[in-house]
Amino acid sequence: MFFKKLIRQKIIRLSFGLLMLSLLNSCSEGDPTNLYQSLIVEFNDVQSMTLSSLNSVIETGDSLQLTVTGLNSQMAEVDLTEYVSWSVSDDNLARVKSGGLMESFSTDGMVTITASLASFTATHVVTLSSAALSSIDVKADTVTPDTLATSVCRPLALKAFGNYDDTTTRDITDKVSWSTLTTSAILKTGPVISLSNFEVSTPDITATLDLIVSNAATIDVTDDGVGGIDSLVLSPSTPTLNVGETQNFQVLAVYGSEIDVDISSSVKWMSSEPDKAEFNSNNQVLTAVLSGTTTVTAVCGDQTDNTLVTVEGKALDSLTIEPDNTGRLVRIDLGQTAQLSVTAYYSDLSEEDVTDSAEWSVVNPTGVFISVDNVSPNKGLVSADAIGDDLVKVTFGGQEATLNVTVQ
Amino acid sequence: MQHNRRLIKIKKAIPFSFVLLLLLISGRSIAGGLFADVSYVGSSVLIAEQEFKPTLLQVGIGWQFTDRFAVQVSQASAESDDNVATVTSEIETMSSVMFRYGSPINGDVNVYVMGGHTDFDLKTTGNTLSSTENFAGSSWGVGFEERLSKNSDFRLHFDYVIHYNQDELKVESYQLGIRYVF
Repeated sequence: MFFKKLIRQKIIRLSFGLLMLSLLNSCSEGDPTNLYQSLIVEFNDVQSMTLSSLNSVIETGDSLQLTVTGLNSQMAEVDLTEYVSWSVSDDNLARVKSGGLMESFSTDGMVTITASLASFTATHVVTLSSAALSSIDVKADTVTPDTLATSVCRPLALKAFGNYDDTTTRDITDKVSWSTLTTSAILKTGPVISLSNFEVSTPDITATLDLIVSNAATIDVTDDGVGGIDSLVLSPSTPTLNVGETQNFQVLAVYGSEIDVDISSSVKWMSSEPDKAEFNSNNQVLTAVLSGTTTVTAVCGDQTDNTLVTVEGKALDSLTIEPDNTGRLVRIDLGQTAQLSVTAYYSDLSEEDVTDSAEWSVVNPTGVFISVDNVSPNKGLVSADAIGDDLVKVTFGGQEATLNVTVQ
Repeated sequence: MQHNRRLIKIKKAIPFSFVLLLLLISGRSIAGGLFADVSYVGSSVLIAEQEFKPTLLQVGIGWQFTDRFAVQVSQASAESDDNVATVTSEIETMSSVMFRYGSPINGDVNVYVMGGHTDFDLKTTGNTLSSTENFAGSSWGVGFEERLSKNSDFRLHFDYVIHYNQDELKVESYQLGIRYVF
């Protein structure tokens, strides 16, 4: 008894000493955010950091996406926007949300944004101005922005620049709406346009914001020569579809030594037998309609590629045994019967009652719990012979389905 | 600055001192059971989208107030560090006080939940980084213990504890150990 008490006291004193020792050691107070950022710097081998945005002047009340880019020792760029901490020089002018979206308030002025990542900081000055938009210029988003030229089917990204009363010019690409008067030019989402292959044309593009319309930008479209397409490559090759199924086709444009460009959305798609398989609204998705064959062709200017598509009858997708409203389980009282049916679902979204065509059986043929009739007109009639459970199996069109039947 | 650090240390010492006081008082006035614990601690330090798995060895002492309620103070020291890319991470020391509330299944097995406080020093080194920082915060966990054999004073236990989960840092551990009941 005395010995136990002595051990107890010694252990308590020892633990007290250990705890005090741990509390008195000389570590700095931890800051999880600082440690997190230090590790981001370490893992990404960050050597320097810059803060930038599309514009350095924005309208008061507008938002501006800020981007923080790091440079590692291999001189490769790393996006650090989501890792940095943000601060602004004047809280009354703007704030920055995590993710780098700066929201300005309704006062004109200049605000300095600071991004911090461990020991790195980067700043960016943004002017908030309520000056009015006076005109819009449309330019190409290329190394030669004043040269508005492309080849047929080849996407061309455009940018819109706004000229304001305070003599500033701002990128307003994300704010304008685009339109064209030339029907043969197809305007794609946003400022990236893909020009129709139907004919070589010089479509006029305009950008509009706040009732200000840019001058019509004339785009020089060529069908050969520098920048022209050497050939098209269509895929998949010779696919087979069942009635009701769809096939998404892709076509790559080969531009000499350049990387192939996916121009699927800007070529013209044709099916030689549209009653067998047809394209919907000139997009690259083909829907199989009737059994047979059709030739699918992608056309861009004088370049084409094609492939043969075979359409077969509708395919059986699945079988469902009914009634099945209890989670793949049917309960029958001992001595009673239950009529089951089976429905076939096809690739053309049609369905059919195939109870009389299907083969019915019990999975465990030596079982004594249930039996199922496989002779018309009583196919699918289940009899509850003894208390227990077993699986009813139905086979049709090469597919099987089962249902658990419990006798109670 | 020096004054602030002293204040922080005093604040951190309060819960530990409280528990020790409780232990001392209870040792004299409550008919409970003293126990000692030795554990192997496998930890997981989640930070900067990376997971480090340093290990520790832990000793502890505690008091079983009733069949259900117990308290344990523990001190752990680094057994191994872990590397991810160029970064090495290690929990140098970890002190904790955990209150346990159990549900004894029979005389030999006890399943319990835990809540308390953990204080640990995290050492992180890399090409451009070398720091040892102290973190402290609320902790909670679950575990079970089982008597090794009939009438044995030794109990095998396995615990899972989330020691710290704030901002971008999460530290959790799996503890496998032996408790000796005096």
